[in-house]
Amino acid sequence: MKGLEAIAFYNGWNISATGVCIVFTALVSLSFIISQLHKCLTIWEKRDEYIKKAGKLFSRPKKKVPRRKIKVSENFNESARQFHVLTQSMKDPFSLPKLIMLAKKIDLGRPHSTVNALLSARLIVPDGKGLYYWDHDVYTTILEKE
Amino acid sequence: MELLMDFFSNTGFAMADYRNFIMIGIGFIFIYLGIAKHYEPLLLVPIGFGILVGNIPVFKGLGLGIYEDNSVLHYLYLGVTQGVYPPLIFLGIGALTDFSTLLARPVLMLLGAAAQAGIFITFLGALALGFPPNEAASIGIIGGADGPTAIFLTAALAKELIGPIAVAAYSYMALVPVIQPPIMKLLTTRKERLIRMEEPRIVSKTEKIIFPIVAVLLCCFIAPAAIPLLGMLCFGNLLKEAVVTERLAVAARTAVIDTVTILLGLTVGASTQADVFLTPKSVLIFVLGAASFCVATACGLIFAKFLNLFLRPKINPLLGAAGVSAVPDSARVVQIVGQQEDPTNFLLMHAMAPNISGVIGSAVAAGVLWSFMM
Repeated sequence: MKGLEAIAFYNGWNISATGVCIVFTALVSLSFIISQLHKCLTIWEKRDEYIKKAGKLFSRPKKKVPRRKIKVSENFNESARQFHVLTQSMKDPFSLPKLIMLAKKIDLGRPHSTVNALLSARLIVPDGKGLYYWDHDVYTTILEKE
Repeated sequence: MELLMDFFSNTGFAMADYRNFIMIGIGFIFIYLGIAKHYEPLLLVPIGFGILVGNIPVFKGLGLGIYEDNSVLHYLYLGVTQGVYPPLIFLGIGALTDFSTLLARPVLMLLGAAAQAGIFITFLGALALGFPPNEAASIGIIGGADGPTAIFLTAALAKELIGPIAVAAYSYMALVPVIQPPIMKLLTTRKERLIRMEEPRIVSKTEKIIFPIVAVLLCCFIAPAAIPLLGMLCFGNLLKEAVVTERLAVAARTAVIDTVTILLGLTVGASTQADVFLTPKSVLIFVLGAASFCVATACGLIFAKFLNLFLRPKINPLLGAAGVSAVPDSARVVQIVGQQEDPTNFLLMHAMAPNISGVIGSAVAAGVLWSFMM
């Protein structure tokens, strides 16, 4: 058997068409996958960055806690100046008991309540490790208002 | 005197017929092409020498000829008939090949797919000429221009044709610089041949490591019969890219592939014994093989021109000719033909992409044909 008859008899047309399709499918799929491979790898390498971004997108925006307006009296300003001088001699961060002790030594009036007021006014700020530091920005603002 | 006459009657001179001398002449041509013209010398010299060895007439029954069960050559030839050598060669090819250009421009992979159409067109041609489907499939695969793939499929489907098909496949692979340029010039304009390719992007090591794993999984899930060839190709490449297995990669791309090439070349050459090889069927196989190779080249070129209708920037359509998987000769031919028009246009690196995808494509095509014939 020869010619077109042989091709038809042995199912040649179908075999060829299917064969070409399979080869194309394999290589087109492989080509598509490798064209995306470097993009996937870039995402994988920068995964921490993307996770952070995604986290920001899905997390609830934190309500900003309005800073309490600091109402200060003239006395308070004077006390602040005195305690500022004291803290400068102690180096940041300092401990509150030590500060109070020093204040008592040099006879500053009502050291406990003054320190409490300084804390409320955020002039003295906790460092999160049990010690405190002096917030120079807030201090400058207070002085400017004066 | 009688003893001397007896001895003479046992020599090759007395037993030879004209067909042996024709084949020995072909062997000389192969050796000449390999050594003097540098056409695939690593293949043509062992095959050519094998043809000389295989065509020295010997007594049947003494265990000397390659087709006798107890001969040394027969044992070595088992690697061909049992399909052992081709996967080992693919292992070496994998360990030698850098897939960077393919990974940088995956679209060029389609050219390797298009060139495989030649295999199926020749399959139809062989059926039309009266070959049974298993033999037609083995003849068609010559168009893949991949010797090991052709041998592998023929060993599985039509063992008796291994000699002619292997010799045809390797001959056409060696003759790539002669066969392809006229077709390339015929199917492309000067303007097209002058197209310059963009610099490919830099490919990361991770991509190179992941590629062989993805390729083997995807292609072998689609065409499981391609596992012996593609599996070894990708394994060899993984050994190369993983770096930690450098010793194995070096062994695969030197000792393993060289040893197997020697055994394959020599035994395939020796299998072309005149009485088996010089038949009208062999002549038809050579004609169909040449047609298959030309059609595959043309399909790659035409598909590259077709892609240019959609691609911006355009690709040089000469790259389509590298879709046949004669690695790296067809890529070199693309470079040479491109530089004939513009000596400053370097296409070799870009041509390696369709060239390598042609290897993958022909292995998949072999797997597909094998599964259809089972």
